[in-house]
This record gives sequence, structure tokens and C-alpha cells, in this order.
Amino acid sequence: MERLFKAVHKVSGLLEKIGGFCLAGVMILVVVNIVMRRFFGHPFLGVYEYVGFLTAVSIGFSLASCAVKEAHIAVDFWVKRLPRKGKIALELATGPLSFFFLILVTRHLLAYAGNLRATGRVSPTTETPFHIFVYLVALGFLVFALTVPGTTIKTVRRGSKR
Amino acid sequence: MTPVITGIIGIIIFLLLLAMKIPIALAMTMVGLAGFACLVSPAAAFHMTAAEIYNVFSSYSLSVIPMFIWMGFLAYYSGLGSSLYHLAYKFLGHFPGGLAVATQVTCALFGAVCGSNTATAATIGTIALPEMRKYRYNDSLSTASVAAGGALGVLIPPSIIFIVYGIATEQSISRLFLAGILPGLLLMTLYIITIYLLASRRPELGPPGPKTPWRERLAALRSGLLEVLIIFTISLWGLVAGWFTPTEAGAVGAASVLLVALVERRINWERFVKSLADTTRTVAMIMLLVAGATVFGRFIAVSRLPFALAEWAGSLPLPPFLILTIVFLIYLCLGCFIDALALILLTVPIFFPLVVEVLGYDPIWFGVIIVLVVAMGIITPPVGMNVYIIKGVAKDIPLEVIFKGVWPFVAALTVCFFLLALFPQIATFLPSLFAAMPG
Repeated sequence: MERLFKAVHKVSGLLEKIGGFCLAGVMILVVVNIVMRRFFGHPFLGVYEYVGFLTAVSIGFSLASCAVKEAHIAVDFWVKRLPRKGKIALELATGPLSFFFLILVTRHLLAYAGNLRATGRVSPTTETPFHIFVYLVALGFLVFALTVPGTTIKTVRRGSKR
Repeated sequence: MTPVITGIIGIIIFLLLLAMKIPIALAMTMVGLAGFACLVSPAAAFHMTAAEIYNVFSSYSLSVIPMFIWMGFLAYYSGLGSSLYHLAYKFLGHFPGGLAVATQVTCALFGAVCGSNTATAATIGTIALPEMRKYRYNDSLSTASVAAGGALGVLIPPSIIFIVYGIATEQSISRLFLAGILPGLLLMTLYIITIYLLASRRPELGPPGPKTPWRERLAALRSGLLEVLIIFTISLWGLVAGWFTPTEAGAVGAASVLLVALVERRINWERFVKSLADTTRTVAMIMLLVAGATVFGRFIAVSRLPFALAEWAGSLPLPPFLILTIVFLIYLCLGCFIDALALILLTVPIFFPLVVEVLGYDPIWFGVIIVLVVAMGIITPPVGMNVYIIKGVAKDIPLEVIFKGVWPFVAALTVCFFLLALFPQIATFLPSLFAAMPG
């Protein structure tokens, strides 16, 4: 189990790095496009589409790392006032709920990507297939879901030790 | 069960999930999906959720958010914040409470290259708090001044909250940015007056530091200020003049900070990668919130709750300003518990049609004033995000001490609120000046 959680952490870190470079790619693409448009009168065709694709990958790939660092915003004002056992019980209820919900979202993102693939939907300018990027976002959600059991077990253990 | 009742039940379940510490973005998506499934059909709800998540993540108009966030993190990792603080410190540090005043000026300047209140508070907090401690500033004043100063980052453009409000309500982001400038400067002035009054009455709260010779002060002008002013001007002017889209303005801003950092050798590879990691994590958090709010908003729209609320409020025998006051009180109460961005995303689809379409208030002015109201929530107990961030920087100072110090700044925010309510021109003057320009 520990190995699995460590592997998930490693994968989330790797995805975050890829996501970061996608973001840097967006900045370069946009700035070069401005220079081409203003000074050479030739904008890059499809920048609008590639900015969208790269941003989607960047966000999808950073979801898990954000969860590992517990950076997704939650309100802990009331939970903090619960006794130790209450906190553990709540974590045992909300952890699986979040996990199954994220798996459900992943499943439907995959279905959505499959639908786009089957209907042959492509972007209007560069004719890039949309489904590739939806699959990548679904991968991000899958790794995000896999971080949840690790976080739950860590929180429960921390609570039990105290 | 009527759709409106389903909408109300959905909001109650959402609040319960929040109380159970489920991340706000997930709670909004869960309730939005379930509610839409109840009112339309499960198949439509699953398709809508998957499509909305991908559409939000790949939206060109929303890609402005990562760009401005990266701009802020690049400014942080390149040490621009530190240079700005030392500049303000050299000019103002010798006055009573001068370091706290310098903190406000630095927060305003840093806010001009950073769109996040938390990043502003964290950056300036790590620089200013050790200095104020060195000169034996009162812990309450020093910590609270940084926490409150961080709120300037949400008013002074670029502001992520303005971007999200602009996209959610289809208002021009450049006009919202312009509208935030004067209220931001007004709030900074009110903060400075507050510190001056506190330090004049009780000099032990903020003893003056040593006076810096003019030669050193002028030398400090060369490190940071000019760069920030140039970056701010290029990025914002390009946006206001219609040369750039908001995303392009953000990308130009981030590229400019990176260029300055590289030319002045302020950044290395490690810091560059760290800036990217912090940015992607923050962006993931924000965009998941936006996606959750979009799914939740679709459910609220099919429940027809906003229309029912608007009809009900419109039929009340109350003057519009009283209804508006009630709306602000709701924001103020919720702002104490819910993060500013999440609160805007959650409530704008409900209150915007009421305030703008039924009561007839200016949408830009409403945007500025609710940002100001949620800025109060950023520093007030029990969930004052900036206060927790400052607590993270100054670990040995108890939370109560910081919260005790924020009240004079909340008073300044309240004065700013009333001035904006009485004189809406403070917010609308600059946008109307540039009204002819495309946005």
C-alpha cells in the first residue's frame, strides 16, 4: 500500500512538472504570436486552439499534485471543533466519497473523449482532434482520485497517534 | 418538488458538504451534478459535467488566470518584492509606524505585478515581518498590517478575483482592472492613515527606525521600482488600449518579469521551476473551483432560483439600496467562512441578476464593491485566509494576536466601502474615461 501511495506521489510530481512546462509553452506561444502579428503582420494560425489545449493539459496534470499538497480549498472551521474520534469518522466518510466521485468524473471524461473520437471532432483551424486532450485531462483526474486514499489514511493515522 | 425547492435543497446540501471539509470545488461539482440529474436527467448531467470541466480547463479566455498568477510568482522568486520593500523602507521607515506604512506601499506596488492577495501577503510578510520585529514593532500591528495589506492585491490590477468576476458576468476585464485602481489607492491611503493614528496615539506600537541618507534613498529607486512600473504599464496599457487580449496581457506581463529577472540575474533554473510548480498548483486549485462553480451554476440556472429570488426581491416594498445592503450583509457573513474566490463564483450567478438587472446598479461598480466586501472576509475571523498565511510566516505569534490587530484595518475597509457606496465615481471614473477603448 505504502509503495502504491509513493508511486502516486511520484507520478503526481512528474505530471506537475509536465504541466508547468505546458504553461511556459503557452506564454512563449502567446508572446511570439504578438511579435509576429505586430511586427511581421503574420500571426500564428491556431494559437487560440493550442493555448486552450496546453492550458487544459497543464491544469489536468496539476490537480493531483495540488491534492498531495492539500492545496484544494476546504472549510475546516467546524471540523476543527470536533473531538478526535469525530474527525476520524468524518475523514473515513468523506475520503471514500471524494474518491468514488472523482473516479465517476474520470469515467465520464473518458466517455466524453470516446464520444468526441467516435464523431471525429477536430479544432476548426489546426484540425487537431479534441479527444486526445480530454483523455489527458481524464488521466489527471485519475491520478487526482488515487491521491485521496493516501491522504485519508495519513489523516486517520495522524488522528489515531494523537 | 418544484425546481426552486430542489435548488434550495441543493444549496443546503452544499453547505453540509462544506462543513464536512470536502474541498469546495468538489462539493460544488457533486451538488451541481446531482441537482442537474434530478431536474433534467442523469445522462445529461454526466455529459454536462464532463463537457464543462474540459471546456473550463481549455478555455482561452480563462487562460489569462495562469498567466497573471505566474507573473506574481516570478516576481516573488526573482526578489522583486524584497527590492520594493527596501525602497519603501528607506523612504518611510524613520516615521512612527513607518515600517507598517512601507508595508502598505509595498503591498500596493507588488499588487501591481501580482494578482493574488495570498501571494501578496506571503511575499511581503516574509520580507516585512523580520524587519518590523527588529525595530520592536508591536506583534499585532506588524502582522495585521501585512494581512490587511495583502487585500490590496485583490483591488489593484491585475486581480484574479476581478478576472473571474468579469468572466462570470461577461464584463470587460480591462474596465474592471481600471475600476480597481482608485479604490485600491484609496484603501492604501486609509490604511496609512490608520497606522499613523495608531502610532501617534501609542508610539510604542511602531517605533521609528533610523533615517536613511538621501543618496541611499535615490540609489534604491533604481532597484525594482522602475521595472515594476514598466511591466505594469506595458501589461495594463496594452490591455486597455486594445493591443492585447487579457491572456496576451498576462503572457506579456509574465514574459516581462522573466526578462527583467534574467537580465538582472535575479532568478536561476531552480527558482524558475519552483515558480512554475507554485503556479500550476495554484491554477489547478482555482480552475477546479471555476469548473465546480460552472457545474453548480448550471444546476442553479435550471432550478430557476436566481429568477425566483430576483422576482421576490423586486416585489419587496423596500428601496433598492436597502436590498443591496442586505446582499452586502450576506456577502460579509459568508465571507467570514468561505474563501473569497469561491464566494464570488458561488454567489455571483445568484445575486448579479438581482443587483444589476432588477435593481439597476452598475455592474463594474458592483464588482468593485463586492471585491471590497470579500476583502474584509480575507482578514476577519474565523476564516481569514490572509491571517492564516501570516500565521504560517510568523509561527510564534498566536492567531488571536493577529486577529486582534486587524480590527482597525477592518474599520478602514468599512470607511472605504461607504466612500465607494456614496461616490461610485471612485470606481467608475477611470473605466468611463477609457470607455471609447475596446476591452
